[in-house]
Amino acid sequence: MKKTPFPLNPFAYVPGLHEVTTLQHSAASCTRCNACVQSCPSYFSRQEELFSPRGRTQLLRLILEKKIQPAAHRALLQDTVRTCLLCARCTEACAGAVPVAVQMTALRRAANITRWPLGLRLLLHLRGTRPRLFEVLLQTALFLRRLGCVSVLIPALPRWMKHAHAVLPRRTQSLRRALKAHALPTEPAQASCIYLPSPEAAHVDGAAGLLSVQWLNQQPRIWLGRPSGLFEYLHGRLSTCLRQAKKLLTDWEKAATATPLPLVTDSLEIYSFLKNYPVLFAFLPGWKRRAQRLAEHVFFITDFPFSDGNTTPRPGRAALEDSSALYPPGDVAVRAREILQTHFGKNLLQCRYSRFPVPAAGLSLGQGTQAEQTVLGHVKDVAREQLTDVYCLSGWAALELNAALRRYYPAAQAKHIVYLRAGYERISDGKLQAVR
Amino acid sequence: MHIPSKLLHALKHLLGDEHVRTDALSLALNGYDCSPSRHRPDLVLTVTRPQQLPELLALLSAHKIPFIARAAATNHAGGCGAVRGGAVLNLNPLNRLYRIDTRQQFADADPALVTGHLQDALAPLGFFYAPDPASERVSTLGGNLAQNASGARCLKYGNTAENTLQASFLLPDGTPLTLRHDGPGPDWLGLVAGSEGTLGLIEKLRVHIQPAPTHIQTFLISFPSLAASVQTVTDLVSCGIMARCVEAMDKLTAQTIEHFAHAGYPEAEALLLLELDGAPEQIKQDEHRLRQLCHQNGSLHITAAYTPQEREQLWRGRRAAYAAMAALAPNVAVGDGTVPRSELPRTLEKVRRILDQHGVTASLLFHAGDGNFHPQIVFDARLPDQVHRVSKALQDILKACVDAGGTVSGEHGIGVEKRAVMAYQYSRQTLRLFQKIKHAFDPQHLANPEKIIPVGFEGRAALYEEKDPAAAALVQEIKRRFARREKSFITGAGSQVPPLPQPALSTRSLHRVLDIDTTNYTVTAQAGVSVRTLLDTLHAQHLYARLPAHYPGTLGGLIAAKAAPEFTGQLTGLQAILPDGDVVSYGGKVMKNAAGYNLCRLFAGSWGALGLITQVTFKVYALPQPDYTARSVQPGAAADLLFRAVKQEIDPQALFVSPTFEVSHP
Repeated sequence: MKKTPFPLNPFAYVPGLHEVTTLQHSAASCTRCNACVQSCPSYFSRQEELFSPRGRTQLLRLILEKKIQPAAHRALLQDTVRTCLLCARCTEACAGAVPVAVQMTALRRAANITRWPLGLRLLLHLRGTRPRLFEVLLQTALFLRRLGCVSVLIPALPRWMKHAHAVLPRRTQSLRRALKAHALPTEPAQASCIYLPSPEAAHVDGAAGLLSVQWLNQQPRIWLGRPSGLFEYLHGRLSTCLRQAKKLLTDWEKAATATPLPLVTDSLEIYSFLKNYPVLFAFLPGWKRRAQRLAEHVFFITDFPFSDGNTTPRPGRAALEDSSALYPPGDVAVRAREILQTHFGKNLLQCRYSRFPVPAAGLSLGQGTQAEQTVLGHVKDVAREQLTDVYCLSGWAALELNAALRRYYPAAQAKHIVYLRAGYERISDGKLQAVR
Repeated sequence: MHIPSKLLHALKHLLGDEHVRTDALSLALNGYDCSPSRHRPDLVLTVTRPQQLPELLALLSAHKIPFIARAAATNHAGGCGAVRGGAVLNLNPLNRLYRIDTRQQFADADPALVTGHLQDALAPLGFFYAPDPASERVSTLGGNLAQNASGARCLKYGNTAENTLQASFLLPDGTPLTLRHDGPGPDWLGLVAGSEGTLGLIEKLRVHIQPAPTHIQTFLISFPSLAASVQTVTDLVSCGIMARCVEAMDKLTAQTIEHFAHAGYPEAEALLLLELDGAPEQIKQDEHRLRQLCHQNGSLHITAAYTPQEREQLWRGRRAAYAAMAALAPNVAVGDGTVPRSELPRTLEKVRRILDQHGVTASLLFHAGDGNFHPQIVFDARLPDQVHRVSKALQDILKACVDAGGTVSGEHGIGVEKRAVMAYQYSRQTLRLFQKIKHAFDPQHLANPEKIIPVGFEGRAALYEEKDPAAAALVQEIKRRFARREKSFITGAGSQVPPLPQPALSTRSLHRVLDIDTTNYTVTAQAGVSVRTLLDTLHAQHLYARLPAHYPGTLGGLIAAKAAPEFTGQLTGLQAILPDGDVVSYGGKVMKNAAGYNLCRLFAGSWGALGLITQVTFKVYALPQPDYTARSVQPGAAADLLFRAVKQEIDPQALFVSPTFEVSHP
């Protein structure tokens, strides 16, 4: 078999959830107690050590100790690393907080494991460098898809792309067009905060973006198409990620006049990533201090008081899906639950509606064939509890879950929590008329 | 080990291609558990349906491939390692809960169902499953039974073996059996519990569930010394108050936890975290008594938690104990040893000295109720010197346990890590008997081989010598008869078995009650004591045992005939003379013992065909126990496949005759 290089520096420092550590040290910190395993979504569907957090850390350790030749087992190794959703639930469950997600990110980079075809990677690269061109290209692609042109290409696309195709709504609208329709400026003269929309809200579900702006109840400066470095951190080069992060930091500092402006986002993943910015700059003390300052001024949309003047209790039974595709949501989920509680009262399910801690976000991307089963598990839970609304904190989770619900249990719908703003009128994909 | 391609083909046909893995990655990732030992298997087989198991074992057995059942692999003693290579059976997909019957109080489940998931399913019904190992959120029902891991609640609610009603069991060649505690012949289910998968494979389980107590009250009590804390627990037991669980820790541990979790634990030499459950009035009474006892023993501070939130606050520190240690160093080794409760303070002080001697940092948590303690030693596995010091310290701690009359494992098992100290705990004769039991169940040594029994123990383990004159006389007599190939049958009061034509071996000379221990609440009595006399002696001291009050025979007869299966679970120690004159000894005053095969369970219901029971140790109580009548037993062990196999190993010449055995082999 042809040996391919596998550069993995054991002494490379990797930023974890809580601290910065070397790969070698983080792999050695696993005591193999298995406390992580029941929190892992990919283990839940595969039931094999190879696909458990403990297995992944041990795999890294074996590679670092040169007891396994990664090049000889490339396919299986890729499968193991790729199926990690990076949800970091295992790190939360671990007494030693072993950063498995970070380890897997390092392994992905070392093994050059990427799920994204070259064309798409180039397109996404444009998002950082040429945002307007990116948007034009993306909207053209989405328009072609709606016409049915993409379905011709589908057989040639990887399996996960087919899932993504099923998840995206038929009608999409970008936030830029939605703002234009409502004559809202992206750069108001007297902005009191900055709104960083999630990629879903910016390009696919403009309604969610618009509702977020309304939720903020003030005229925010809207940063369209500005990358936070998250995508590059997960799927690309760390150097590009750092470059993008530095640019965001500089722009934020420039935007502030007298007092720093709060940076608000409706993406749970971006929120968590920005909160962890200081760890990313651990070895650049100057940047770290600036990132710490930013992290103090980052907010999730639910951190702002919610009021739409509607005090009547909402009908139906609701639940909160607080899973995130990256870091666990923590306090954000608690606040979101409080908001929902005031509107649904007893009809908000107090417990997690899912029996298993499987995040809905990123399933169809990460799991391939297993995604279907796990998503079905979620649908069953929704049906069992006879829910009508599932509010998600992650936009992508909402899209994925909604796609599954549309197919198997149309009585319920999943939506981003900002849709609370729209009252109990149903909003079909991308149609803005229903928004009050 | 070479895996024949024919076998691989058959396995793929049975399990499916993707469930038979031979790649180095899968093999390396199925060769470890929580212990430092690593052994790479040659095959990893994922079993997705229980129906596949008998055929799978038959296939492996036909090709003489050793196998190890593996699910959560949370074992701390290296029980999941493939020492001789072979196949690892990944049972994780077998995690179904089939049935919960609240009326008859049982639940049927697959072996790899996570114990915590069963609790989750029972909680809405107002029921619970009593065993609560610390790892219950991860470990599985089958694994818990195979290790007999029971957790802190076992003092009040019994261990995992007692809470398992029935198990579908597969012998290493795939022969299916159904094991129960009260079936004819020895208590095979009790023997399989704690056997660490060396006797076969648990295929399905029926466990006992019970209504969850509605009222629970938690207390955090600080003491000026370890001895005072243990004395309080002893006093509590002597008042007849059975705490739901009694967790304890020493000063250093409490400080580490407090520093990490800020749970509000006071600074003291010993802390007790104690829970009472039951009816509200009962709890009130018990609390009053508890406060009195704490005062008597000089407690420094008592915090009581009445609401679930308050309870959670008190438990937060205890639950964070492992995390607190994990924060200090990359690796944590969790030890396990059990001593009689009375020996706890002395042993813990000795353990601290050993830890200091070896220069290692450790927390010391213990279940004060049952004398089981778990040192959690922090170290860095990358430094060979540290690893060496930790393993040496752990070994010395285990020896200290044995010296104090305890056992090297309360719930973690022996695996490969503790095999060496087994030769320190058990005599050569007892280890030989363990070997025979293993051989009887698994003549090809395929089921989790090379575990429990130390390698080359003949040269290291001491020979046991009987000191009691009456028992020694019996040993001489049995040895004499063995030399002459004379058959004999064992008799006590003659209440169960009518005299047989062979010369009798009477246990009537063994008529003494050897020890009544009111600290540990155990009694050691010789087998020839009549049950009535024994009960009278105990009542005179206000002690009560779960013995049938009107049983006419002897204690040995009651056990050997298994006339009271409830009593078998009360046995903590046993001595017996085998047909060749070897004296074997198992257990003692320890409430938990997961070291070796449970001989108490083997001899219960053996009808004297496997050996002559000379003395037993059993639990007693301060409050009267429910009275019951001994069942009339129909000897039926003769038809038992296992009984014949074990008999063949222990007594190949059939020198000890019993009615059952003679019926099948005239």
